[in-house]
Amino acid sequence: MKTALGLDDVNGFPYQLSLLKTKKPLPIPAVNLTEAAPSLKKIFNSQIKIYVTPDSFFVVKFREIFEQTRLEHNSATESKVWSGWPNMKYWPQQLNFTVFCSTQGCGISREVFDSGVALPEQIRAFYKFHVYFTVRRILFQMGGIQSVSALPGDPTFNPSGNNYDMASYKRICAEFGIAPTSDFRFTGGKNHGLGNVYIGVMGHGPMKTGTAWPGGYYKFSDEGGRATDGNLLYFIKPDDVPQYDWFAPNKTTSLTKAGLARINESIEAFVYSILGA
Amino acid sequence: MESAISQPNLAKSVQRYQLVVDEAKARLNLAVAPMAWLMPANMTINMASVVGYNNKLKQAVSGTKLGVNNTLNTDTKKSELKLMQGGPSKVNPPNSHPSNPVHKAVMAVQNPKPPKQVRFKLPTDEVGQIKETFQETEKTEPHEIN
Repeated sequence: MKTALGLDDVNGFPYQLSLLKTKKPLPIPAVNLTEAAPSLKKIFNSQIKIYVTPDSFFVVKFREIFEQTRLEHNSATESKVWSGWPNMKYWPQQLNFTVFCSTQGCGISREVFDSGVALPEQIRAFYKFHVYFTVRRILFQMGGIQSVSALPGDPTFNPSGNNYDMASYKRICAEFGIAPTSDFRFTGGKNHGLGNVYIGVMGHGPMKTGTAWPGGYYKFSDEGGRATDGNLLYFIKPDDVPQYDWFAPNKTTSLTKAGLARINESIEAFVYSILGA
Repeated sequence: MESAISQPNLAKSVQRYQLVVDEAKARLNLAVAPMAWLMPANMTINMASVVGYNNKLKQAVSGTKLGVNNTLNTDTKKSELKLMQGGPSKVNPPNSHPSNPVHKAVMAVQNPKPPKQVRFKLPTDEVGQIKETFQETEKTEPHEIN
């Protein structure tokens, strides 16, 4: 296998799965926003094969969490909060953060769990499980001891103000060597990620415009926009872009220390779930 | 899996992992990353006792090949049914009544020696023995009825 990969000089594992030697901070987002990123949703919202032997498997479908990432901004005050500084109360930023930790933070790239590196299918399926499990586990841990975090579909879920425990968030940041002030917003869309400006049109409903905000023609009602003046801004909403895709790297150098601990947790959970069933 | 996600603390997870591997009698021979726990390649649930498994937790070292390693954990350990800690189950199996012929046959195999016969020494009644005396009652002649 190593010969086929051109990795004869590597001792043992492919370099993607050997321990990281340097402590250089990992770039956020993992993929440059100007580049295309393959879809994660396609992998995790579809059926996943769970191998019980090297050849035989059963398929499961995990709970869908890669959704509701289009925030609707309805006031100037709230829009300024979003664009002013990173804030983990927003569900898309929470999801981007957890995807980043589970992949880039662990040192696992898309080529390991998707394709690109020649790996036995049993192991590739395990890495898919690992990424999903770690995303869910970190989201759970962000809820603190009171488990205040909520997922799409939960009664307490709110995409614009999803509860989380700040102390737990900082602890997870420390585990992965990330500054708690890191920016996990997807700023690649219109108006630096805020989205497109929509205005209300009589008999038509909301209509997308190409204008900028702030500083454009249209204004929210709490900043002076009036329907009678024809400059009332209805809401700002981004395009339907799977933002988390940019937070999973296409390639990694190798496993991180935190990643190894998390992989061990995933192995325990994986074996426990199947053999303990 | 959902319960594993919502475990408040995974500190005891290694013990749990060990317990599951031990109970399920699976062989740890699948390496997914160096220094990570080895996991069983074959995770079909085996209900019967198996000869030839090794449950010691081991980590993949840097030279370990990715995938199934048939050269790993070749030590075999004979697994056999043992009595549980604290003795056998107190729950009586369906055939456990002594009069049941199945039970008799099983017990005969398990205990070839005949069971000890216990004799009870009962105290003798030395004081106040009841002596039944039969005193002949006076035989009265039947009255003649004139």
